[in-house]
Amino acid sequence: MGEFKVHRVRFFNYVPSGIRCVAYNNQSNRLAVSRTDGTVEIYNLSANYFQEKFFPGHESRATEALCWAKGQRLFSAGLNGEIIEYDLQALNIKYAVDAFGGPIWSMAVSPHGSQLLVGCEDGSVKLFQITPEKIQFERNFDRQKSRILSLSWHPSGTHVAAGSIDYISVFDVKSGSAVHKMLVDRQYMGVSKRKCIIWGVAFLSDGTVISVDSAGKVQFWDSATGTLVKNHLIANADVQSIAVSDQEDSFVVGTAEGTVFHFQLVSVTSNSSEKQWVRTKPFQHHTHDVRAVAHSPTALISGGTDTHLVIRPLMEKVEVKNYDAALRKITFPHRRLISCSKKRQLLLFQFAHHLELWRLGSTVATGTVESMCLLAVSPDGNWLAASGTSAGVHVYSIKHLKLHCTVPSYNFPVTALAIAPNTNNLVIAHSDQQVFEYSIPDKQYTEWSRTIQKQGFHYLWLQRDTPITHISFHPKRPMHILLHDAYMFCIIDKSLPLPNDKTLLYNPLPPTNESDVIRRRTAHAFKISKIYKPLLFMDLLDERTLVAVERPLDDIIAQLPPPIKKKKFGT
Amino acid sequence: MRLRRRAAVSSSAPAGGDATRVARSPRHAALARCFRVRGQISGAARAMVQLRPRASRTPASAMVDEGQPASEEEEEAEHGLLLGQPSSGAAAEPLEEEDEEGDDEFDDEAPEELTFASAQAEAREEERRVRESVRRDKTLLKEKRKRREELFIEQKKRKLLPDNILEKLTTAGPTTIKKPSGKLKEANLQKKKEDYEKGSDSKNAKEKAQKVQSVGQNKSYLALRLKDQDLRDSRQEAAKAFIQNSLYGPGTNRTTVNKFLSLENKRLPVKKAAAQFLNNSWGTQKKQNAKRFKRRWMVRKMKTSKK
Repeated sequence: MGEFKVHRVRFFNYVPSGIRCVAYNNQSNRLAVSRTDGTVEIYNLSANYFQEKFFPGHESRATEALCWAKGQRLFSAGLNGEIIEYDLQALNIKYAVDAFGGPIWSMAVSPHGSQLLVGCEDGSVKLFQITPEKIQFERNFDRQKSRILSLSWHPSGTHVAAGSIDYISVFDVKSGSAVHKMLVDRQYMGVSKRKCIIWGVAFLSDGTVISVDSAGKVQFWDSATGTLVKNHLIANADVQSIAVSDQEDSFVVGTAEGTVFHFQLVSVTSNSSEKQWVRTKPFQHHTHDVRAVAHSPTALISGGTDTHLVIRPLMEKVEVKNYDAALRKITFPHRRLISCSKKRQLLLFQFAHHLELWRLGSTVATGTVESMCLLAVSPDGNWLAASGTSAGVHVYSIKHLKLHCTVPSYNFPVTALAIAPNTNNLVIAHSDQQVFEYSIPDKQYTEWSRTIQKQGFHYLWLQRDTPITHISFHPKRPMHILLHDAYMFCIIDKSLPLPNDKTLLYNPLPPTNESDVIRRRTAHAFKISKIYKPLLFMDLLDERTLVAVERPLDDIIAQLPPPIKKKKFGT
Repeated sequence: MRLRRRAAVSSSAPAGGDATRVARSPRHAALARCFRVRGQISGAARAMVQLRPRASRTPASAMVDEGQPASEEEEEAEHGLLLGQPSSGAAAEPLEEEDEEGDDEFDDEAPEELTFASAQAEAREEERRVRESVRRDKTLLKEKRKRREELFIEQKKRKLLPDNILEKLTTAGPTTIKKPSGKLKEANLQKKKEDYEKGSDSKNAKEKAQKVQSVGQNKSYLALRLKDQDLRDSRQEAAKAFIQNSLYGPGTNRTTVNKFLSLENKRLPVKKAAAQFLNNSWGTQKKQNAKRFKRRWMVRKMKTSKK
């Protein structure tokens, strides 16, 4: 392998934006996440939680509400007053419809998936019909006094609960009139000066409305009579989000202190049929406000201002207790944001709105504006490999400008692509940590790839939870492949034997301590180093130099908005 | 005998005054103490405090004695109290008189007697009157609301263009109707501007306005009214300000990121400094002044040394 000189780069000022809304789609097991700068990301939860689609955002399209409708259609609404539908195939915005009610604060899809309800700044609740091509305005409900901040449909589609400032209204969908108006107590630590903002409501099928508000209370209301049934004071700060499971036996709320609480419906005593809602588990995975939560059949998903997306599988719902049942925290982007020009020693950083070009060794930056996608060009300029949303990686011949071949499709999306310099082998890494090597001239998988597929990867390799984001090659050593993910970088030496499950995967053996024989026996192809983390990018500059771009978490946290004050004893 | 604590009659606190304490004495147990709430029921309420003749009107909430009210007048007064007796109630007068008299004939005489029937009749009268007035108020409000509704409907009808003109627009060709479409658009937009506040009907108007637009001109460009854009921007600004205020404004319990990250450091067995210890923005003005002074001083020094 040899020794390398490493440029450690820490000045890439990458600050992800906070998560604003989260929407879970049950049929396809996908999660849509929208951020405060307007980007919308789609994660495929069954493909090892990989972020497969990405809609770059714009400040004017900052979303306040996100939801899935029937037929895998994604809608979002924001403060610019428009309802936007996203085209998931073409990865752009299909259209935007202005709702003419001022900024939109909340949106909810009817249980049948055919109607869309929007709550606006001027206090009106508007009903839209979802047609196959577009959405169409149907009518308005009774206008309320203050802005409608949260909406929830009754599972039968007959009633709607709307949370506003200081009160909750229950509407009848057919007539559009407000049936009940429930006043919420402003009490917050004994002081009732600030208005009580109802951040979230949920309507259960037995007529109970659950509301969460800025005074830290979770309240249960009976919508038939319009009265308060139960009151839980769970936090000293706002409770900002709520999500109910499909079976309606559990729900999750997120607070501004970063705590996520799980409520469950349990029977009062072990035999009785009477049930009540009990707060069962608190989770403290966030440092800042948790502004969006979602409840999938097996996991609790939360995201907030601290930009992490946390997926916590629930133990009692998970069938097989293996590594999948552990906590997932998605912090770093799954795409490569940095590219490197080896000859000129330049680094290109991709930000949301601009690019920065840095020369290694100096500290001057220049900038342009562009966009990126998942492509790989072979170093001799003959071949171009592209992977899109459709399955399979296509390889095009640049000389003849036509499709050369297609790698057989694999059911997990591709996370990284690269073409080796001399052998023109295409190395593909997938989101389930499988790595394939495909020979372009021969149009088939290489021998090495077949052997490793037969043997299978080491189990620790497969259990890594961040995807491989970059692959590169050593110009003089064709047997080496350098690849990295957020927490490790690895050089695969194809000439050495492959490790099986029993050998140590991570073995930083010092070169001279062990005897030669032992070293030869235990040495295997995967040389992994975890020195530099969290890694955003790593590449080979020339034979003796590596460049590693790290992004310590503390630097990101230092640039986030202020969190809620926590009083700790002794400080 | 002990007196029970007083309970408020109406939920909202009375505007002025505060509750007084009645001196307790077992001697005057028989005399009921009735109080009236001031402010809401601004009446000639006079506390029937028998111990010390208090000239000042100290309002307090009604108090219910543990025992039976000694006489019917108290009962009646309580009744009146519960009904929210208006200022010039029939019962107010006799109470006042009795108060004055009561002050003189202190604890020697029993209060005057009223028959139960008459008191009951008066109470019923009061109730009926109150109910009547409430009903009248309700009907009045209803009338008002109905009139307003009608007014709105009429305004809406006026605002929308008559259907026949719109039909003509949609069927006619683009060149011929360029001018009139422009005028109609103006008229439409004007009406739209007038009642922009009414959310429900402005949507229809705008749809029609848009239809006019697309028919009148080629689809290569779209005319936007800047006034709408301003209104939209201001609303958006207001919304953003609202959310900024509610999450990070005064009254929220926020701390800086520096303090948040330093909490751990403070609780370690060996206390460490804060995450961001130096405050580089401290005394910037002073530093700037110092720099300027130094520069000037150097220049002066150079001049004098040259000479």
